[in-house]
Amino acid sequence: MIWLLPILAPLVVALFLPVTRLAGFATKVLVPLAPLPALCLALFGPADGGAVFEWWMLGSRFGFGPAGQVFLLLTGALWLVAGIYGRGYLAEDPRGGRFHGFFLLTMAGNIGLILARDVPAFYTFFAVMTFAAYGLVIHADTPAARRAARIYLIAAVVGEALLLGAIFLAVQTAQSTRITDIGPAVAVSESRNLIMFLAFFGFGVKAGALPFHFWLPLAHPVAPAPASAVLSGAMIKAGLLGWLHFLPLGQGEFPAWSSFCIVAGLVAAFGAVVVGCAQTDSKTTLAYSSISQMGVMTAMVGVGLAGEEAWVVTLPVLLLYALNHGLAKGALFLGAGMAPSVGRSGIGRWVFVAGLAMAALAIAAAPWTGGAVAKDALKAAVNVVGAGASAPLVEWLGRLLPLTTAATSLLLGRFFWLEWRALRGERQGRLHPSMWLSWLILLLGLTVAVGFSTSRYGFDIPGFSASVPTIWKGLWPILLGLALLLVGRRLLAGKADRPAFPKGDVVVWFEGLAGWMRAWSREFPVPGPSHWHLNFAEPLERLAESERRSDFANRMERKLRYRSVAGVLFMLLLLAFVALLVFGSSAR
Amino acid sequence: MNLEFLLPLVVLASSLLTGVLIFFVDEKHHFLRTALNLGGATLKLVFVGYIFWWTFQGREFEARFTLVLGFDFLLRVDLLSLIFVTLSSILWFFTTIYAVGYLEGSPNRTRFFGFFSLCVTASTGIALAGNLITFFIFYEFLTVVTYPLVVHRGTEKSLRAGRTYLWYTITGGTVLFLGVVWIHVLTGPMDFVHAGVLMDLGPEHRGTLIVIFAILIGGLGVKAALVPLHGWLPVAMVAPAPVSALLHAVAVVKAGAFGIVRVVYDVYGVEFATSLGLLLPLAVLASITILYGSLRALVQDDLKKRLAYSTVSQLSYIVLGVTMLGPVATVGALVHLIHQGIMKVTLFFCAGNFAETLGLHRVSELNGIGRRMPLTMAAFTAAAFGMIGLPPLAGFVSKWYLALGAMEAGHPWVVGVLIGSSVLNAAYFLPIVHAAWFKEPDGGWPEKIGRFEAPWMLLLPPLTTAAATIGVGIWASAPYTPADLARQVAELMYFTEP
Repeated sequence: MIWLLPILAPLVVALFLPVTRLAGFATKVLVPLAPLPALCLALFGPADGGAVFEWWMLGSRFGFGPAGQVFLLLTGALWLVAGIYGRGYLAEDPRGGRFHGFFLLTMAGNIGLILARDVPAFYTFFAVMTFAAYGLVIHADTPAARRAARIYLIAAVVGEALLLGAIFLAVQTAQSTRITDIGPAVAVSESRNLIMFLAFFGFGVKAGALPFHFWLPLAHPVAPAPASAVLSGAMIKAGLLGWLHFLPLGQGEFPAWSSFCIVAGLVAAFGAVVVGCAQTDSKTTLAYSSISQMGVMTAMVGVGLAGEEAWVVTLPVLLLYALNHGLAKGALFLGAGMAPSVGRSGIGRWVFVAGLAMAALAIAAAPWTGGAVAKDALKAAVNVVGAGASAPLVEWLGRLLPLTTAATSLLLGRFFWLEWRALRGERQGRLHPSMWLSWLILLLGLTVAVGFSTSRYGFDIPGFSASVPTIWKGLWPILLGLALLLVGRRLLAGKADRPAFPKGDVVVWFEGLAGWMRAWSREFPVPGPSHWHLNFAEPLERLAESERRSDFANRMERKLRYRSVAGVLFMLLLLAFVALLVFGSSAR
Repeated sequence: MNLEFLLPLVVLASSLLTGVLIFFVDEKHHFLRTALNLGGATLKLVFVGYIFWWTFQGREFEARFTLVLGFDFLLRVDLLSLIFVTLSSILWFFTTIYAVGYLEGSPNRTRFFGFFSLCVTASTGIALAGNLITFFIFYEFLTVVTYPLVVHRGTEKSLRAGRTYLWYTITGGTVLFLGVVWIHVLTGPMDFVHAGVLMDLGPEHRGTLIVIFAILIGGLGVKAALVPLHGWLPVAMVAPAPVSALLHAVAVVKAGAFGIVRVVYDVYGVEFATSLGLLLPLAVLASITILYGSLRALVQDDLKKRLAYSTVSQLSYIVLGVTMLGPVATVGALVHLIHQGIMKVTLFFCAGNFAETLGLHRVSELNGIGRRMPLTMAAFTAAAFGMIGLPPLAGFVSKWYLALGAMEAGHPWVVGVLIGSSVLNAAYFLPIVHAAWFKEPDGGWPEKIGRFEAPWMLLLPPLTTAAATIGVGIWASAPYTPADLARQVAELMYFTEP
């Protein structure tokens, strides 16, 4: 039961929403509490064990895999905070009820896919999350939101299709639906490359891998702040979890795939920064930062594909990195939602700026933050794996890591600057106390999360040891990034306010292509519904009507509608049938 | 005269007699007619339930009459017939409720319900038929008694549709007849047997058997709406909504699909048919149908027409599953036989509700309908998602078995077809769902009368079948669900010595 409760809780709460008398209580109290079972299970639950439900779908199992606890900790915490935050953020929204319905459904999907230990259940919850999140993206119902939602949905359907292919092939290869059987089977499968390709891009849609990243910068910013936080913090990691399930990590050496993931990851990590810096909307820069960070995680998956040992050292690092990024990105998105209402003066403003800086520094791996712990551990892991030398690119990655940090600092610096400008604008409304409360809780969680997880889940990762060299090693990339920002601002002064890249960059090509195809099809119209269907009856009928007069046919038909005629016809059929039987037997 | 003999006849009679009796009820005796209708449907459900229960306790139900020349009229309950007869009696029950609500106050109800019952009789007969002759008798019976339902409205358009329907189905029936006679010339009287009956014929008959197969499929393919024989189906959707619902779920099109199942499994035998090389061309044809139907559905604005093309596409999933050798694909084919019926009946119920309560027939008119008719639209959404194949709904279970079965049979390209069709399904269903829930209503709808958005008789059936769409997916592993029945058939076919 403890394995199902986290999934059922949001669904049960959702049942309260349509009941008018209970809806208020549900949105104020129950929605924020709904992720609590998940968080408790992650914090206090057993690491192993699980539940099997033979009757559910194609036989389902629930439990934690090697990654489940950390993922659930991140997911439970973010949804909890977002729920509390949403209580204030959406207090005056007339469509709040609808939002909360989708919110809970998405939550159930997100939690369920972490706990699912068989493929059909995993895919089910993945799909539930994907399609329910549509309601979150479109919530604002502005033209931008509708466009973002449409593109989100198209990307999602494409992703699901790729995924479905990966799933069918993998399950067929493994002859089992259990997640634990998939990786080893894929590793030795004949169609390994196809499965890995489909899985990489299928889950890549969710994880913001190039070239399927385009929906993120559109969808994440238009969603209400609590939804952006879970989209960019928790749900994006579902794609990562999918990779862990379907790629043969720790099952052997895959040098080509390792190199591919590292290159793809680094291109995303740096490319997203370039495009992101050209944005004028702070939440869009955050979305690009997510793409960039997921790029680093993609590269880490690449490191893990270099060999069995490589994965053993990479997995805990990857988990901590994902945890740190998820919480910090959630805090940044929630903060961005608060900025217009913080006000120009007072202590609140300084608390706000300090909190925002803290979250940004955590992502940039500044000394003493969880990010620093994760990044140091990553460097150590890359050095260990790179020494093994089966994958040449791993060593390269080690050299480029500080530069990814610099790039991140540059992008987040840009975000900061945009927020700062927003703070100086007119103050809009007042902040609900629950928004402050949830945000501060999240920041508190962020400071302890990495350290706590290391000890609670028994990762062999050293904490941050403060000494001049380590501090300097953490600091110089950040300073480099900020210096680049200043230089860039000076160089581009005066012409900066028009984004050099549109939101979602490549998406405009796709849209252009779609528009071109529409225009093309107008020019050569696809035959409409009224013609072009193959109706053999009409020519026959014309034939019949030309020979006999058409009113004869009509008369016949009116007769046929009388009851007796149909009966007689049936008898005639029987008679003819018997006659033919006689013929049949005599012919033998 | 024992129960094993009587019950198949009683099941048949429960709708046949109802139909005949209704013809004698005067048009204005609404209550009596409804009582007869619902009574017949309920009785049939009870009897089928009884047969269902006892079949699994090992009793065998069979009613055999000898016709001339040693041919038998045979009604028999095997697992396949059990699947189909259960589906048809359950869906008939709900469609009857729906039809009573739908035709409230319209003319010619006596004629309608009379033929409606006969139509179900025919589909019951098709389900219970134990040999090809009996199957053919009911197959043609179905052709005839469905016609008055298609042209029920009596408008010029529906008469034309009826004419098209007759041209197609009578021609198909004739072709099928040719095949049936020819095969009997070769074998003499025969019953359906799970391994097939033809492999004992000598190799010199191979060519003939291939030709006969083509003829049989050609005849059955008309009702099963295989491209290019599907032309009648989108035209026939002018029929009243309950008729379309029944037509697309259990009656006419399913008769064709079920016939193909019988011919491949119980006449030729799937292994023998594979060895003759008959199934790959059929698989290709089914794949073309799947994609073509979906593509055509994409450009339809008329809601029922879109659903009709969707039926063309979805039916061929069944055919596709039948053509793949192996137990998993068999499960996929049979489970989709049921699941498609449940989902499609829901969609047509909902389309009927939009038309009947608000007069909406076009996809482009459905903006914001979710606010005015939330329950109907919720049912529609569940069924549409099921059709796309999203888990944990019915369509996902079908697709799962079909895809894995295709790979087991060594045809991985079929997975591509299934995925392509899923994407197309999403492309023509999701815009409807989006428009209904998220777009602003165009307004101008009549005020709500009464407590619910529609009369309860129009609301209960789609809600029940939508719940079933979800239920059969979630409990796909539980005993006595469609998936379980399909698994038992596959078990019997592949792993039990005859």
